[in-house]
Amino acid sequence: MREEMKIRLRKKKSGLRKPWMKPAKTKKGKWLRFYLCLLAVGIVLFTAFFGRYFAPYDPLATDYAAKLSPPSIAHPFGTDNVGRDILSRILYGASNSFALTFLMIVIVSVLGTVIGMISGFFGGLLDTVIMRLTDILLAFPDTVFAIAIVGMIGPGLLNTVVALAFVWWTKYARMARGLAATIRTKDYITEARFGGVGTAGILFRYVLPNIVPQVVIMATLDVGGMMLALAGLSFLGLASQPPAPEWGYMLYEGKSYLQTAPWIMIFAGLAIFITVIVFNLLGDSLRDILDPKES
Amino acid sequence: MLKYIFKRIMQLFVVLLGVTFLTFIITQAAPSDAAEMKYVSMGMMPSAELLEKTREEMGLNDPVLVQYVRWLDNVLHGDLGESSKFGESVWTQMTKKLPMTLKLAGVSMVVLVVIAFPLGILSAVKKNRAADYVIRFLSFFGISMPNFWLALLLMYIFAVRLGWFKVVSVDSMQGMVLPVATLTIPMISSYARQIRTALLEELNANYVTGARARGIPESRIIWGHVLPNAILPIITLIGLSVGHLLGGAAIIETIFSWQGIGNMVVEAIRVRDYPLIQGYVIWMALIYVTVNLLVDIAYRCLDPQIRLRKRVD
Amino acid sequence: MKKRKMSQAAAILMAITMAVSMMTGCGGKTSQSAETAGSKTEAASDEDGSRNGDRHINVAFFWIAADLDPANDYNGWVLSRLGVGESLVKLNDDLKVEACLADSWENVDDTTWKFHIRDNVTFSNGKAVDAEAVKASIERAVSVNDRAAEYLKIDSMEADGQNLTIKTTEPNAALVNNLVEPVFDIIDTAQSDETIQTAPVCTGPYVIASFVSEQNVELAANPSYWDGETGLDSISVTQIVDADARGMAVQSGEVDLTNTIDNTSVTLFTDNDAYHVSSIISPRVNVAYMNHAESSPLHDIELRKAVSYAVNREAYAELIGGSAAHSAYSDATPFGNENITAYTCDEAKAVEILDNAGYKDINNDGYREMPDGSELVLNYLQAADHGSADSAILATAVQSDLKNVGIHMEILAVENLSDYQTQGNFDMYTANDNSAPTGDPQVWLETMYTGLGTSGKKNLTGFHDDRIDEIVKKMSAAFDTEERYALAAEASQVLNDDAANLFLTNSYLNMVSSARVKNAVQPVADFYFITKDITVD
Repeated sequence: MREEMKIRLRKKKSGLRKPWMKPAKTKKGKWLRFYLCLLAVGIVLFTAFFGRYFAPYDPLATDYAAKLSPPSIAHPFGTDNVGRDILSRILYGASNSFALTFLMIVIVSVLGTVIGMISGFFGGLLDTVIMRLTDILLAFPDTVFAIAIVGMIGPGLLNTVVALAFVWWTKYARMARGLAATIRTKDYITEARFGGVGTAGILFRYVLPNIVPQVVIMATLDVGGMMLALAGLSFLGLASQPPAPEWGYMLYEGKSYLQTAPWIMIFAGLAIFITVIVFNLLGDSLRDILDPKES
Repeated sequence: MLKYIFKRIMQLFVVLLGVTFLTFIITQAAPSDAAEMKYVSMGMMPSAELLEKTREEMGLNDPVLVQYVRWLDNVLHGDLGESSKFGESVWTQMTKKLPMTLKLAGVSMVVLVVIAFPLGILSAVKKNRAADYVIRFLSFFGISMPNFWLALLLMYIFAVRLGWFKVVSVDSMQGMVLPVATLTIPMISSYARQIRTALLEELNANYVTGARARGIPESRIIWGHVLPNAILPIITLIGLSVGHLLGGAAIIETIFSWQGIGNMVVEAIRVRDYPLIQGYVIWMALIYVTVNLLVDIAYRCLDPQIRLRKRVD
Repeated sequence: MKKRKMSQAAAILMAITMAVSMMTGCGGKTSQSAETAGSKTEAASDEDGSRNGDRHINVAFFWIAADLDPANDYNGWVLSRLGVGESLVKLNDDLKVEACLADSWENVDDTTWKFHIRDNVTFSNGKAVDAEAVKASIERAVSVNDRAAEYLKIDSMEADGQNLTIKTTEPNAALVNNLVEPVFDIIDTAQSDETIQTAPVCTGPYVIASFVSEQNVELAANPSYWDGETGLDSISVTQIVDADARGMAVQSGEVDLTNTIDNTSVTLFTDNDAYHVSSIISPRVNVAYMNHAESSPLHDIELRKAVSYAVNREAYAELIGGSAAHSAYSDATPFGNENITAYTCDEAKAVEILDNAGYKDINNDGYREMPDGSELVLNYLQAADHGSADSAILATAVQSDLKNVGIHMEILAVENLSDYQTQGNFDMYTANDNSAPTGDPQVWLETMYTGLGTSGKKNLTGFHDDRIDEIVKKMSAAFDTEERYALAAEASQVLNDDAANLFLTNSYLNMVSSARVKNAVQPVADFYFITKDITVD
């Protein structure tokens, strides 16, 4: 045991990851997978931001005569309980369900990383205060916190996303802090300081590049996580307001038709599923490339 | 060690103080006025003067901090207020419903560990072989599926079509199968992957290469060295899983009509039962924080590296 | 119809059995005498089974109250649905008053009523139900519940043996009708408050064996029931809030009987031999209430009229089941809806009214602006009712129809509707309301459309029309039923002329049961559910 411990310690010391964009020994296959995932994510993103222009119908237009029609040429994904075209609703819903999530993840990860990096690099009182704050926020399981916020302030998509974001930045802050605190003690930082590089320079040139890969991986995986969390809260009727098309809410509406018109639930569920899986795959492949541990 | 535990418990108090304060502040942000709610719940529309008088009586005009201290004092005495929906104290409601949720979460935790571990180990050991691919592939599905979607599908197939289980889950082993399954499938998928990663990280460590070079059998390396070392990140995972289980329970309990606090809080939100929501949040945070404290302490006890570093310091 | 007849036949059969057994004397010989009478009825043949307790069904309700005190809020409705609580009188499926615990009554003068309580009725604990007990129970209800006080307007009550005399403070012609409300379910008031909340002692065919708040009630047959044998020995009633879950529970076989199943799901049970479906048009009306306060654009009658013409009630009835509503009262009520002029969908007319009243789309955004040029957005509050999806469907449909005539409406799904209502913070809100909770037109009109009465609290839309106030006053003194109905029709017409609210659909009530359950019929008055007639093969 003793010997192993020593080896482990040694390993930890030398285990600093190489800066971003210089992935170690990547195989062609990995990159191929990465590009494929990127392409898939690109398609999803494109759909989210421009899908509405391809929608065959107005997502809010009702057609009582065509209610609950199964998938057909006129309505490839069928219609819902008031005869709205499900394909159009999913395409429009993409921007509601997804764009907001995406935006929020970007904000949360940037904010969390910056706070964490500063906290970890400078340490001291600031660090203690920030870490206690994250302790407090992390004491709430995220869904519980969102439920609390929505319960008090009232249901709504934005309320829910903000509530989730309120807790989620702490994850990034913690990770960034941990990495920054380790980097701070490195020899090359001291050398850089002697070499006359300012604090901002050190942060941007040496600290940030070591944190970014981890943040990107985490953020990519979190897109799926947040979408699922949102969908779940929507499903409880807490997040979304009708009749705005939103995937989680479509599932909620489709629930009553599980047996009589299953296509409502199936397509909305698939939309969520595909988006989440695409981002998870990308995150996984990113980890393979940026994080050499597994190879 | 004792000093560490003591320090951690002190930290816990700070965190809990923050948690209660935050909970209190969120309630303050609620658009409804407590004094008005009091009358609305009695079916009255009070005049402005009456409202002002009631606010004064209820101490709503005091500074927020004063109100908080008063409220905290009550909370510490176990008085979380009265649930407007159920017409009894929040404490009674919580103690009535909490055991059901803990039961669901507890069983799920056991199932989670029993299934996720072997899968994660298998996947790591058989890296890039058929078993690994199958597990990783399936786990992607598990992670990416909305759990309520899964719940409804399972319910439809196994309860409605096949009649194996009940639509309304009752408090029995059979009644728990579907809720536990939907609660754990995404988590098993996610944990199997994380366990795999943790193990692979160990397997790549120099000491493993060294051990291999010395001709130590692969199985002994894994069971004797890699697993004990990989157990630490996994314990942390289990601590975090409590949060997922408690949070996820809200949706699962609603779908399966499981009479726990998740179901209760969704109902409470419907009728704006603020004291009940408050009670729920505080209890959830308390459980979560306590479990994670225990996990941290266990981590300390188990991790030779941290212990060692401590001694060097 | 067939089913209703069948249940009537069963009731008659049981009544005969009962009569025969009564004539032969004491209860111990009941089963023997029934058998010797030669007509071995279903109830009698199951008698052996009853001792083994194997005539059991599982029932799902959408709501089991927090407690079972009938005087508390609407909890009496649950007690009544359970077949535990009974009132002095009851409503039949034509919404006419029938005898129950009282076997006769008379209206002595404008403010005096006399009731005769049945001689043979006992509480389930064996205590005789006399006028004194009834008086105590009603007094308790009136003192606890504002609604109850409003219903009766009691000045004083006098008990003399089986005779109860009620004096009212003012002429109250609706008194007998209002007594059917389960808030007046007769309970043994000698019990402690705790017993009343968890297992009130009543007179119905079933008694509470156990009760878990908002979850579950176990019922046992009341052996001393005054109106004959009960069809079952025990019943388990579970609360399942979600309409789909209730339906699925019937499909999976864990529930034998339930109601308020959405119309879309009913198709799963009709045309299937394994299930019975009993559907009726109920006195419930889906209404989109419109805010008449000056703060709301709907203060303008022209806008209300345009909205009334714009909505397609027939299509809504297709979407959620039921029939298009014609007035404030459901077509299931006998209040003369056939004689009034109702709104029909007429888009051109709606557009014409809007154009004439100056609602024009000035900024070309596809929506009309107010006559003064400011933006017109109607906010519409939609709350889930009884775990059904109907209100959401209606909201979407109304929004879409209003868009067609250029009116911008936004839906806000809220759970705390009452907060918004009391703050007057809405232009429209939906509700699925019982337009004749006691089979009489007055209560509904009075609470929703006048400022009369002490509470007047349900009139949240600020509606006011002197003609309605006048009609309500006339009703209080109109003791002839037909006259009351005529007044109701008159009121309906006034409300339609005022475009008071959007009366959208009369809703179906669906009861679904597995085929082994017999005589389960959805009553028109929805505070009834479990009856003594419900039995199993």
